[in-house]
Amino acid sequence: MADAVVITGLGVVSAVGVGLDAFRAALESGHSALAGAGAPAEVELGGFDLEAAMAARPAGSEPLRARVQRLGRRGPPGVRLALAAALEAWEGAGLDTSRPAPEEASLVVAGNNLHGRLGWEQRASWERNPAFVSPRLALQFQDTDLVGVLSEALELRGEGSTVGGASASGNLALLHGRRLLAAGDARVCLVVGPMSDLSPLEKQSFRNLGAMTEPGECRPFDRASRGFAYGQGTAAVVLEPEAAALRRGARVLAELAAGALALDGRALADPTVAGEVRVMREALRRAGRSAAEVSYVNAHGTGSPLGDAVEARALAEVFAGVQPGPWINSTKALTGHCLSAAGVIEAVATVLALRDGRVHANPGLREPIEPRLRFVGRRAEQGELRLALSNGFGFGGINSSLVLARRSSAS
Amino acid sequence: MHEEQWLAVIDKHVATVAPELAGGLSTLDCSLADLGLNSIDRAEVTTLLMEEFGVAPPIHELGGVSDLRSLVTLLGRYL
Repeated sequence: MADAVVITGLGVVSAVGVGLDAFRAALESGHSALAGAGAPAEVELGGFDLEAAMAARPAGSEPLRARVQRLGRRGPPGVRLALAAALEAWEGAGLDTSRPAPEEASLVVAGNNLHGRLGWEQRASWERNPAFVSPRLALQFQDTDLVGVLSEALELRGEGSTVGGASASGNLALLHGRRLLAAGDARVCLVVGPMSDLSPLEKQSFRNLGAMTEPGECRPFDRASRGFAYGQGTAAVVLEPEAAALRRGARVLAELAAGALALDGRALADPTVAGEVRVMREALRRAGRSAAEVSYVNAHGTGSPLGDAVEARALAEVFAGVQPGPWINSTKALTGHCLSAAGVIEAVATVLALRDGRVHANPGLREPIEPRLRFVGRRAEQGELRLALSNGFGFGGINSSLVLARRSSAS
Repeated sequence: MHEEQWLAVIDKHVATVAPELAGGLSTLDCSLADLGLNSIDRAEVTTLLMEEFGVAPPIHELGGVSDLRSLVTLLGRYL
């Protein structure tokens, strides 16, 4: 039997918390960046302070931190967030001191069209004279800028690339990282879900489409929801084969047991129940597990009335006859929809749920659209959680589901 | 512009692009590479100088620049 692929490091920067401890506290309290007093009109992190985030954690390898600081000083907000989350995951996995050969360390960056704002901000220079456009933009507008920056910071010289799939990107990147390890093509793989730094033009296109709403109106799986709320955030996950992780004394946080990706064969933003059912069932089949064993689903749940209705029907079909059925929530209710980063942020939330035996609240959920499902209410729920699904669906009929399992060696 | 004025404005843009390298400029008889700026930083500083003075010399003329003195001479011709 092939060696299991496990998660040994987590890092996160989100609107509800910078760093894993703050994020975990937000999950426990059900604090949402989208509602309540002081909630911003948009969940944005442009003022993120990388050096303060690093200083808040115990000191690690000095040369590594110096590289992160140097690269962060030159980088836009998306790069600084990615460096912070990647460093937290890397140090949390103990890879700053117990590191593999650089050639055996791989990198997968989730997402596509990550840096639209950077080009938008050059328009004034362009209008004065195209010769005044920043030459650095030629590097920074490309999604792969993050591949270069993170590989230099962490000395990753194995395989590296971006993996894009719209809002399913995070799941796709985790699945790709898992495959690299399962194929023996890497000894360790860092998967980063970076911030989607949208331009005002791109955000307006989502509004004009009727897909995006204001934060207070984003209430996944609630009858009153009006659409998704844009969020900014980043997360990072370290994947390793379990035997190698245990040999170097790493702490195993959870198993990434399996995943499935499949297309609907549809160009539009109109998800299908059949497509979503198919990936959830296929992911479970590949993991050798049944629907009845699933304790928790971290749903895609964006707050889109159509998307949520389709996912709710798909969940009802997959878990038909399972009583009481898994707990279901959506981390986007707290963080906003972080687009390319969403799947990785939600994988972090799912690992924490499995470890802590606690599923976070759906704070905006008052009248669920599907009474047959066991949605978490406005308070977190405790329970023994062994197996979880994390769903991610993207425009263009890109469907994905991951299976994550608790590990008894977790501490 | 006097040499001191050029040095001050170049140093201002070096500080924007590569803060750790600012303050080390005392003569125009050196290049941005001598200061430690990488190729992207050098292009960025040059573009910021062009934008500040509202001049845009042809790319092939910029390619002939060998040090700061030849750069400011070129920019000065278009002022």
